[in-house]
Amino acid sequence: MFQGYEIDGLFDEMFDKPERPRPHYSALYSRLHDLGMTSLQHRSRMADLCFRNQGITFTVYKDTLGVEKIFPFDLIPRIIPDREWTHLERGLIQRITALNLFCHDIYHQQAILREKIIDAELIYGAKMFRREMIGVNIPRDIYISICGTDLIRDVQGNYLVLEDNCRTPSGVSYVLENRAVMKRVFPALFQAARVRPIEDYPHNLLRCLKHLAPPEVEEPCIVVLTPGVFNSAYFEHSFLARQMGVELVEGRDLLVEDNYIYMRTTAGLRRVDVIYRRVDDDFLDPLCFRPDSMLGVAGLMNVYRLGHVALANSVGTGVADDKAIYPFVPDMIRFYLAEEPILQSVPTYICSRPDDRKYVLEHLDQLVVKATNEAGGYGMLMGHQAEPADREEFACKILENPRNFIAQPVVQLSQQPSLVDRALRGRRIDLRPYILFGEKITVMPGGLTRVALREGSLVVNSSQGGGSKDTWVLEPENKR
Amino acid sequence: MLVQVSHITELDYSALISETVMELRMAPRQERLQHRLSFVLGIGPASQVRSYFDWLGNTVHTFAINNLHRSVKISAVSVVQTYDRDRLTQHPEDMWPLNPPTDHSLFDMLRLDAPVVDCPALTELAEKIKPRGRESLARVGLNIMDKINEEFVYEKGITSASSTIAEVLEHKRGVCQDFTHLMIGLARKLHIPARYVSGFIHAGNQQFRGAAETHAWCELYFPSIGWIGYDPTNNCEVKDNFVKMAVGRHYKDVPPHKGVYRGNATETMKVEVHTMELPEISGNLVGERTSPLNVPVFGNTGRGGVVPWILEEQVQQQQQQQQG
Repeated sequence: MFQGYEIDGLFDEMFDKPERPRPHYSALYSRLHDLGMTSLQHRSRMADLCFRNQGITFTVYKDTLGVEKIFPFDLIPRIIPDREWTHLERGLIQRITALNLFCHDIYHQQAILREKIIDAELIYGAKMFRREMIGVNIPRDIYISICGTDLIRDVQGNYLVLEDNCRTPSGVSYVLENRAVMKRVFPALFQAARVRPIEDYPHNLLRCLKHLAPPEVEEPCIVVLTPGVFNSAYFEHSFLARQMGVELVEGRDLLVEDNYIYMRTTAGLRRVDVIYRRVDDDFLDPLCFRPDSMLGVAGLMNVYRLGHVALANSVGTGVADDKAIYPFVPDMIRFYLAEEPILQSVPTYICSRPDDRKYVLEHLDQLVVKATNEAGGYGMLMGHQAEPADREEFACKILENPRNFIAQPVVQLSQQPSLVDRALRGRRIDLRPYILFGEKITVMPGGLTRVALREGSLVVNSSQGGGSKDTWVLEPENKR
Repeated sequence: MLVQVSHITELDYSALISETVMELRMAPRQERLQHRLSFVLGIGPASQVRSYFDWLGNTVHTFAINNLHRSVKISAVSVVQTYDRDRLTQHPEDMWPLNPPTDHSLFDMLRLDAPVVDCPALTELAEKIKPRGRESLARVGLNIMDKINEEFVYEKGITSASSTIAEVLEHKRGVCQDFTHLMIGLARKLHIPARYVSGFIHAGNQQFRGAAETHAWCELYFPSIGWIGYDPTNNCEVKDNFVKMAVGRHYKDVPPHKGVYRGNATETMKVEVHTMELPEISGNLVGERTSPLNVPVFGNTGRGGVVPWILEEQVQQQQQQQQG
């Protein structure tokens, strides 16, 4: 099964030495051996068919060969032992708590700026800093109800935070669908492995949204607001709405009357209390933000400000996941919580700082450069793999608008056996756990493991040819 | 000075429209040298109005109309007591260059940001004004106004409400909004915090550009006493015949009315401003009130149906980033 499998100095999730699996992988290892390659491939085709039949797709923009794609699924699950997970969970809870306090502070007292822990210029220059939110009080002071934090492992196997997604993190529907397919394709193995369930995510999300509703409303009306069918994550928007049993709406289905939000229904207008919005700030309200937006609800921000509707996530959370603010999250944790950060971060050079900029421009061939306000693997340079012309182009862009860029050393991501062309090969992976901030903070056990299916690639984003795997967090030993 | 301002805005549409959502920045500000004694806001068709302070301290009134209508009328009548700058503020001692501000809320008033866009022509003009050495800040303010009036001509119809200062610098012509943006740009180039003011001038028996209409001017920040007004359009310092409605980084922060309507119609706008000096405060002056104006509506449409077509542009907007 594993002939020709190379570890090559990387951290391998499954093996600590060739042909010697780590203890939490030993059951899977022997099952794969028993199965053999032909049977594994057969099951892989079964899985693909499941996805295709259910229409689980995502959209790649600017692709002439059709935009709807199946998110490639790799059959070999990623396994996280309980002890590791407990550590991650504590770290993630600590992080979202601090990020949320940061958002509240930035839009109120700005203590972290007055104490000069973060340079105020950095905040006032952030594209996602929403001045309209200054002084606005929001339900239960929860800005980030749903957070997706990307974790990677370095060559020693340390977990590092790569970035936080505090605006509209996507991908959770794939986690749930991957699990459903996995259970069907590997029923026996799955049962034996004692994997922690994740199926309660939609239920937890609904509770988290209900938590934001005005306390006097007994049966709050909750909706999912989608940009529309042409959005890459439309499948997920409809999936979550269906799972939670709430309406999926577009901006044109909503209107403002007497300073409340109403939904047009066949039975007349119905008041809306909470909006899980998957529309960017910019498009949310043409009156307040981009006047040309056709996706939003004119006047929504005024209703929000009056406390007549709740939004998840809140407006202006992009200031917390701005890549140039990212290096300050450990300082936020110390400042707001008086704790030491549990999770480590990746060293980051901020191009708006002259010294950092100079270093970045001199070492472009060794660094990853990222645009501060982009996501999904767009607007990024992998310096060590790029053509000289591309590096040149990025150097110009950095000089033109330094605030817009950061750079990080290349982290050699951990690898995991993946099924590629009739063989198991090491491919790089990351992990995006989903954190819900409601009455209490819950972290979904596991999350989305993304895999860079191209050989040697370090970019796992679905838009850049990545796939995904099921992620198994194991029950604690003593629960046996 | 005790001034009454009546500010009437009429919006007419070429066909029936089904939805209007609007916010107003029409209430005069409450400040040290300006007290709003009365503000009566009439809106038609009748609608529920709410108000709040925005992040700049301006009073905003908001409303929505979901019946079919062909026109919207807004009448804002206020009585304001204004005061001239006193002896202390008449001769501030602040000197240029200023130290960088410690109050970071001033950063926004130093940033060159559309429509106050940075461009080579602005740099060039700022170089001409830049004092050789230390200079009284008040003098620098007057010099900026002089320079603008020397090189630019007041003329309507050349620029539009969305013009940037790059266009103004190119045409060398513009109206109060353009002159104000230009002065803000020049001041910020010299590292002086500057902000945009929308308001009115009570001309009395004097001649002022921008009287009997909505006007705009600029304020510069004096660390010792605060914001001081300069009107580059009239090349004068701001006195007690100026009434301030709203302040912001530029025009986009302060439009007296800003709205979105739904319907296949074109909009025409008529704005009338009358100012009058009052001899004394009337005994039956109301404080704050909103009242409906009689503007007809034609049945209720806000309730049903979705738009059956989808535009290419809408497709593009839907393809926005998801954090995946």
